[in-house]
Amino acid sequence: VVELLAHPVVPFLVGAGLVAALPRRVGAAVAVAVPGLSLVLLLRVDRDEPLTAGLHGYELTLLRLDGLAAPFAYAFVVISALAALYGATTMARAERAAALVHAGCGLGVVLAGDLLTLFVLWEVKAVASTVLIAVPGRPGASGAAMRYLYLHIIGGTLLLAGVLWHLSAGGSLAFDALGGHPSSNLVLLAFLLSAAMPPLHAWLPDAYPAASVAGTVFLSAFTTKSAVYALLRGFAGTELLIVAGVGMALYGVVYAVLENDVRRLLGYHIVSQVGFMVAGAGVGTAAAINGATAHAFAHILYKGLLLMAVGAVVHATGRSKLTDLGGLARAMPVLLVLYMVGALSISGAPLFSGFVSKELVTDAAGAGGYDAALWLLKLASVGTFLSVGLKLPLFGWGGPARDLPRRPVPSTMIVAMATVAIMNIAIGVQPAVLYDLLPFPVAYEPFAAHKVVEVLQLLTFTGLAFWLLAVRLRGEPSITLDTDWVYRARSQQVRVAAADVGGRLASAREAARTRAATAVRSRLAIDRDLDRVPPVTSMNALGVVTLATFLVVLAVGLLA
Amino acid sequence: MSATARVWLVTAVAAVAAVIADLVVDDPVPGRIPALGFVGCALIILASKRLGKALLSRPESYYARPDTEDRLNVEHIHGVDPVAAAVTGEDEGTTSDQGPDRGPGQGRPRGG
Repeated sequence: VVELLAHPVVPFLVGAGLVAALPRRVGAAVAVAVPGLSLVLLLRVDRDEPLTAGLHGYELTLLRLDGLAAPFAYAFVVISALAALYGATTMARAERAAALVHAGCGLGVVLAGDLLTLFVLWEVKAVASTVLIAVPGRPGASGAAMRYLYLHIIGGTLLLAGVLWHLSAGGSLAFDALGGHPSSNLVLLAFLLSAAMPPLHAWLPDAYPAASVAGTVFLSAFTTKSAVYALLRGFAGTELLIVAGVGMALYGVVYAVLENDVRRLLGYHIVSQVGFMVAGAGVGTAAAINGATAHAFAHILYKGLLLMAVGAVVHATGRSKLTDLGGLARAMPVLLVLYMVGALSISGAPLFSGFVSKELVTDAAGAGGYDAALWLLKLASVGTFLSVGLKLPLFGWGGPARDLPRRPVPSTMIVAMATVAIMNIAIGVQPAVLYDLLPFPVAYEPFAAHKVVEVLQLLTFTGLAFWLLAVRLRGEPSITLDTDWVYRARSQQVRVAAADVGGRLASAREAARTRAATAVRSRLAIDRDLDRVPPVTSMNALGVVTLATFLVVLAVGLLA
Repeated sequence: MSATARVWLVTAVAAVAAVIADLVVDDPVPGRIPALGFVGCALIILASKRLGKALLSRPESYYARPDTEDRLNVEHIHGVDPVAAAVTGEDEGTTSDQGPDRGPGQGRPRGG
């Protein structure tokens, strides 16, 4: 029991309870302290002695900290502390509690040594993140949160079905390399949904920007990266993942070029960057696993910084679209500098964190003989610098000053951002800090002359082409259809039809009858308001989705 | 000299410098990375924009309820959510004040 209480996830769960119960200011301090305590526990974990527990004859491995899990675990606790500091003055109690549960379960997923523990934490994480998205109640958040939940319920169902099938076929509960048996395809699909592989990715750019500014920082770290961890653990060397990863990297780039909302743009670049990691998992050599792990670690830091910096702009101005922003360079120079540290990191500029991690992945792809993947990933790097390093700062901060509303940016936000920025630079300048954490010994010299020349050439010539074509990239007040159209347009049609019927009803009958119809339709949840928390009855949709998923699973099972 | 011509001039100078740098570090095909950066960037911009125009771009109100379109714009300017305000107000029994544009059933008890 003592060992169980010393599990690094425990402080997060206890802390979440405290945050929910204590006054808001005290809770803010608790939320910053919790990851620190968890880090102390992590450092004390005996790596050779996994913590196990028996359940109905199955052996659960609640805590396994090995070379692959450790870098993810460290990155998770570090970003938890800094995201909590970032949101110290802005987050509500329930939101902060949900964030800690989400972070704790993300940590638990990478520490879980068996598939059942993994599944339970996977699901609690999804529910906690739904709360984290919906609670601040930004416009559109409830609808996005419910869509997010539906998708992750499907993913969780696939995962559970895969695990149970795997068990019933005589597989072991231990979470190690999977594959071979058809049940692993369901598990793989669940992992890829959480890793945001198109076409199963639309929940990410849909839901992340709907959370509060601090909530988005929390969200960006855990779900996709714990999925990357799960892919590295279970499916390293699955060549299909190279195709999936390269596709993700380019897909995110294309949508980011079209995107007008700054946080959605960065959301598409989560899809793109996670593509590098998924491709690394697909290559599956020691160097590639190192690369994917290193890139996940760096990504958590630089993406956290980018979302913090644009979040501070959103917090200060109340605006998140490039067409509504611009001319902030003089008003918010500190935020621009901090943002650019993140932007140069994600672009892989020398002396910033992405430079020492991204090249590990591309290099490993080249060494593995996947030349097409190598060059397409380099092309995705061009698109990354184009959107995150050039387009967003030019149209967000550049241009003539505009008369935008201004709220002060809390000093806790600035301190959190400055700390993450220093970490990004520290890793870029002294890559051994990161390389020493990786699962395998690193034989790679990032600062070899030809590497530095190559990256500088790539960035310079991307910048020159951008200079010629920048006018075409100016934000447009439009949205871009993505695969969520499949499930959003349908409900849109239902709503239009319902409104139509409703209109006729209104003109034909008196108010009393209308009220009765309202009650019926509200119970049927046909025309519930898009932005409200749905009535309990609309959970029937959840039931239908779950049932449909089971039917798909059954069909796959019968065909296999 | 026009702005565009100046960019091309800078690009040409940079290309020469880049090829020299490639020769110094023994790149097997000098100039391939600058070409990838320049052509790739232009390709990504032009292809994405074309794809957006032809297929993917929609007005911002595309997913909004048809009858809330103008109110969403108001919300966008003032930073409040008038739909929520209206719904809450209606729940408190002010339906009759909402005007003729509201169809029935737009308000319902919060949280079901």
